[in-house]
Amino acid sequence: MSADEKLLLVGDNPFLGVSHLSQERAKARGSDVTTADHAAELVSISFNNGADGFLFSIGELSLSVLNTLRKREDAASKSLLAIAPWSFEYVRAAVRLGGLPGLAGEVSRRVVRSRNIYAVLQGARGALSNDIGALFKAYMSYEVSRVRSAAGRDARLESLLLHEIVTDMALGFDMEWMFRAHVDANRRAGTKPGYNTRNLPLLVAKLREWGISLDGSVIAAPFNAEGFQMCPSMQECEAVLAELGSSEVIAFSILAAGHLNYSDAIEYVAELPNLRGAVVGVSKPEHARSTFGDLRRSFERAAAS
Amino acid sequence: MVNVAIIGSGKMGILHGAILGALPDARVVAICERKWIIRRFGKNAFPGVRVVEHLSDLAGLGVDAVYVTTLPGSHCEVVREVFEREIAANVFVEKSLAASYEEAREMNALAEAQGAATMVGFQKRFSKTFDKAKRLLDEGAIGEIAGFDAWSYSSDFAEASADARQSASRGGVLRDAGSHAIDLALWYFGDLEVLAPAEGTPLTDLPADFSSARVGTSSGIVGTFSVSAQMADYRLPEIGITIKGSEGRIDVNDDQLELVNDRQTQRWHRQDLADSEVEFLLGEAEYSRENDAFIAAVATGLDHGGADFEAGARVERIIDAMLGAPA
Repeated sequence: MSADEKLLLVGDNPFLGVSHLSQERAKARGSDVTTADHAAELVSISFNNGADGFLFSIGELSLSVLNTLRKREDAASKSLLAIAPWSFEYVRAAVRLGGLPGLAGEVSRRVVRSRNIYAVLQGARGALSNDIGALFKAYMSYEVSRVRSAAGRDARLESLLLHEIVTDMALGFDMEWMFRAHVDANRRAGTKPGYNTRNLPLLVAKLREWGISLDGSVIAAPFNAEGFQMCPSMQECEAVLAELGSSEVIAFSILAAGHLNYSDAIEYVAELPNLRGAVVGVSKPEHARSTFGDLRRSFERAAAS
Repeated sequence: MVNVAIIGSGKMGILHGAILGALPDARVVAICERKWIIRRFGKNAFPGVRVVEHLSDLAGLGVDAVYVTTLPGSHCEVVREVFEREIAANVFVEKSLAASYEEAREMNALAEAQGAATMVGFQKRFSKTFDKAKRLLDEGAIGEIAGFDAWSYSSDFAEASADARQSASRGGVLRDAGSHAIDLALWYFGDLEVLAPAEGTPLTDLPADFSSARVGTSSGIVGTFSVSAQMADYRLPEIGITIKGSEGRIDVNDDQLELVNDRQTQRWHRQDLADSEVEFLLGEAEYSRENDAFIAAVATGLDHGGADFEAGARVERIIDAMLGAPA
């Protein structure tokens, strides 16, 4: 894969107040970065400076960003990769609503209000027939409709990825049904099935065991020079990546949650074989201007050497 | 293979169950859940797992260990029934152990009679930064310990100031968020006594706004606790302690550890301490290490290095004293 074909994505973690290095740093960024206007501006600058797309968890803020980008016609040719469910938001909601039943009720009401006929019918069918897969597909359809409503019908929604907490929870519980329903939900949406995981070798092994094809799927997983969150080990993650030719693996946490210096981080990622691309969060305009060009040049150097 | 039953399928039950499912030496065989809607769909959602309504349904399933992840107010009753019905001898209880010191003592006595492994979900003991701080303290890196300031902050109820009910169901802010900091202090410094109430200490810890207390040890260490679930800046819960010694200071939280003494200033981020090196990562790596240690203890009978019921009861004693409950 040439450097030009690498998919460089701007991520939304900084907009959500996330710093995996420390909460101190997240607080130090201030609240500006978490406003929709500022976040949209950073995404827009990133797009104009080499970013090919936007990877985001589906929530009110990211939807506002998409809405702004649509109005500015800034995202027309860019790839959108959406992560659902945004577990952080749902866990907090569950705390407020008194656990899973309260949350389920709230989500059901939102699905009905969305007027997504397929989601409503599929959800009703799932509820009546105890079909958990149907409920899952209804929910994912609802999330897709939220994205399309905000980003516009012509937006290039490339993949719907399962959030890492859900992917990894489903792996732990051997929830084959969820992965199958996820593939179906993506097929119906015309998107590539995507998985966000911190346990890449286990994900690949399980999908193969269940006969769920990885061809054409998108996998976002941590890859960084420190092996941070590359479970069970850096070596095993690299080995799986090396033999995964038919999937599109996107590296995240390339800075080891802010612990690596930028040049070391990029050098490591650029040398990895079979990587489709990388996602990086930016919290300042100057970062948005330089990050993706630097990353692209590193991929070019690695391809030339 | 250790067969596990999860009692209560909320956030923590699901988290522990998924991690256990990925461990090579453990298997989740049953989930006990009172809410019918979760049972109804759980039967299809969790393949190979029996989803039952009553604790009595777990008897005879060959369960080696139970994880009690219901709300803290029910822990004592659940553990009592688990032992009475001989469902399992080994018990993990999510923090905090009980709703009072009295309940915690009863649970500890019942567990001691079983002679099996117990653990309370104080997973911060398995965090690399807090573990490193413990080692530094044991090595005397800051000399004689003089005092500490511990805090536990989250934004869980930052947007729900009026909703004390949900906080109360989780045991109140002290038991829900503060118990980690109290357990760490007991682990680091030994037994504590609550000193004269700090200004503003509530008679109860409702609503879930803020609690604080001063504590001391028999060796003269004086410390403070500050706990709140309404700190909007704390997107994720954060536990931290600043420890002052005769020769320096340690600042430690979930993310990093700083040692300042007359010889050096050193800082370790969790990345420096290989924090994420676990077989399976879900949530934070400390949960994987915690579950691994408990399952190994069940399988081998060896010490797990975490907080057992006795340690959990010590936390409850401090909380009760902070709340002004009679000893």
